[in-house]
Amino acid sequence: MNFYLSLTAVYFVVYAMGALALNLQFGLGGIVNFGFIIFESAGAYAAALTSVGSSATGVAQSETYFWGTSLPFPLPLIVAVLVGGLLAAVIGPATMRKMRRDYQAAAMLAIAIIANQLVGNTSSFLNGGNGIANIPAPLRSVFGSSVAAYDWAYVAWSFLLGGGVFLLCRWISISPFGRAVRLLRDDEEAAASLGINAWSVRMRLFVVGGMIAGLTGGLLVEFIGAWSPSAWNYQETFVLLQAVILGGVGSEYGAVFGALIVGVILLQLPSFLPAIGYPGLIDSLQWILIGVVYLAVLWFLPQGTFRERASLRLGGRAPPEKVGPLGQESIRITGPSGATTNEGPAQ
Amino acid sequence: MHLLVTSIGFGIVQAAILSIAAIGFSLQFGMTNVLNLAYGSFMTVGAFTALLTTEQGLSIWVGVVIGSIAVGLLSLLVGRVVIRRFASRGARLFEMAIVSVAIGLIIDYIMAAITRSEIFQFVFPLGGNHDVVGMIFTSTQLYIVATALATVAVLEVILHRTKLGIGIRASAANGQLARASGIPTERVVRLTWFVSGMLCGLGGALLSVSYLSVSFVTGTNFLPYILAAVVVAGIGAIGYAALASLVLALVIQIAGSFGAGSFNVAIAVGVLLLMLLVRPRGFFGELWEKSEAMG
Repeated sequence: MNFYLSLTAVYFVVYAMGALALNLQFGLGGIVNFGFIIFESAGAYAAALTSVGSSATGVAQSETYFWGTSLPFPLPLIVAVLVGGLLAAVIGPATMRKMRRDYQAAAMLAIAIIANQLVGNTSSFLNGGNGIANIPAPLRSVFGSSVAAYDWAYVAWSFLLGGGVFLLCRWISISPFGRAVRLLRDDEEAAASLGINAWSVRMRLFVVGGMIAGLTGGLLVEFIGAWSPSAWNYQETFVLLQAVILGGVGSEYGAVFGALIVGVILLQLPSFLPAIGYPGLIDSLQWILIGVVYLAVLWFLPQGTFRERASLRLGGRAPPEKVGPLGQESIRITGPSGATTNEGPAQ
Repeated sequence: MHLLVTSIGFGIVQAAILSIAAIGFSLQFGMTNVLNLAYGSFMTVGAFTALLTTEQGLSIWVGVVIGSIAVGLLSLLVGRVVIRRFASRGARLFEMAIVSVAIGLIIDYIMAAITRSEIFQFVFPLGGNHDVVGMIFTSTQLYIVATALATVAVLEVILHRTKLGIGIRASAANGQLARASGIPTERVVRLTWFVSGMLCGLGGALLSVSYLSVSFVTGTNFLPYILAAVVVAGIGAIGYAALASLVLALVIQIAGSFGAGSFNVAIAVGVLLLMLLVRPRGFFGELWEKSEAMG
């Protein structure tokens, strides 16, 4: 029970940091990253490989992975951050091009699904579908035999990092850089006329998001001790996105609130409930619930719970009604009245 | 050499399935502007419908047809009820993509809950082997390829030679103008949801017939290849979608025959990333737009 409580607390921090990073990319920058989870996963694998030891002599001799080493405590986490950022720097340019953002979304989703299949099917790379287990907990020996003390110390450490990420995101959000990012999102031409380099600004934002994602992966994997493709299915990204939308796109408090509702109440609390049906039924029902909540949020609460501070938006007022997060393109539903008919110009 | 020929043969079968699915996706997206990320889940519904039909003792091909029609109806229902309602509330492309993800999750995991996430095997006679210029196909595989060729041909004729096709293309290019010209765009959109759904169900059923198995992730795992083919072709370019599917499937299979077993999926990622960097509007996108603009 104690372990489940501390696990839930760590998950909350991980989801909150993920939602904050996604909010940074999407809420502030308007970058649609449907493959966010692969950056988290990259961090998790990086932390795992740098703490589990080499596959020949390490803890887990039955597992095969291409490389492994054993570094002292904070280093695996730092490597995770760097790898997350590096992956973002590699994939970023492909998503920065001027294109219909739905192409971008489709491409990132495809990359996320394919990357998962790739890792799952290649047994010699990251031990395939079984993943890497027996990842040693950092500084475990310091706490001697007290499991509970260690778990709660890890929770405290997680909250410390989570608080740091929150302050970082908040700071980015209200800094001149954050204002440039918002202006770029709301009015690209105005931003260009002020000499803001769109590519550089978006790239930096994307890489920072990737680094935070890497951190969340590393933090999670060092606590749960295992990582496999089933832990980073493409739909995990949509859990974080749901947290962002439910909380309110563009709001840091909203991201944390959304992570609490979606990550903890919808996804973690059911594991405390008595089991129903066959094993695995609850998992399926949870994902159905996530889908239903999505529809409900978009129907009843499309603006989210917390609104982005008006003073932070373009010129202190709401962005023009026609411009959604995806710009001018719109859905063609073709009704008889003009009111419900929007034409997408990008054809 | 033998391995290469074999992989080309398998690539052609994959291309046949991919092109049916990609044409449906392209038609739907070009017409409705909805990035339907539930498309893979719809395919799985078609596959399971086909499986259920064969379990009633009916022929697999009856199952494929019923699966196709069932998904056509499901697509019409979702398009007209859910998508339409959200659109009339002002949801835009991004919100609509999320709505489709939510629908996909709901469909996928309802199927997971019912099937206990198990993998089901298809049992039916594959037919004899046929040698086509060195490539060995089973009768089933030849039927799949023939179905794809017929689908592409029929759609090309409908879109370019009939009044209905002109209506569809006009509505996709400029809905308001099409409506002003007396084209019943509402009916055209309805028809698009149904036909693209049928193609989706057909693709899903054929996919499971080709794999000889189906689970709740069959369609969703296939979605990246559809997205890759459609992005490569340029969204809405139906003829090119079939061509892009052929090229993509062959590249994947041939590369896979040289590399490790799962090397092929990396190729698809590579192709996608490269495309986005080099030709973000799709390889044939500009060509296609030009030809459409010229009429």
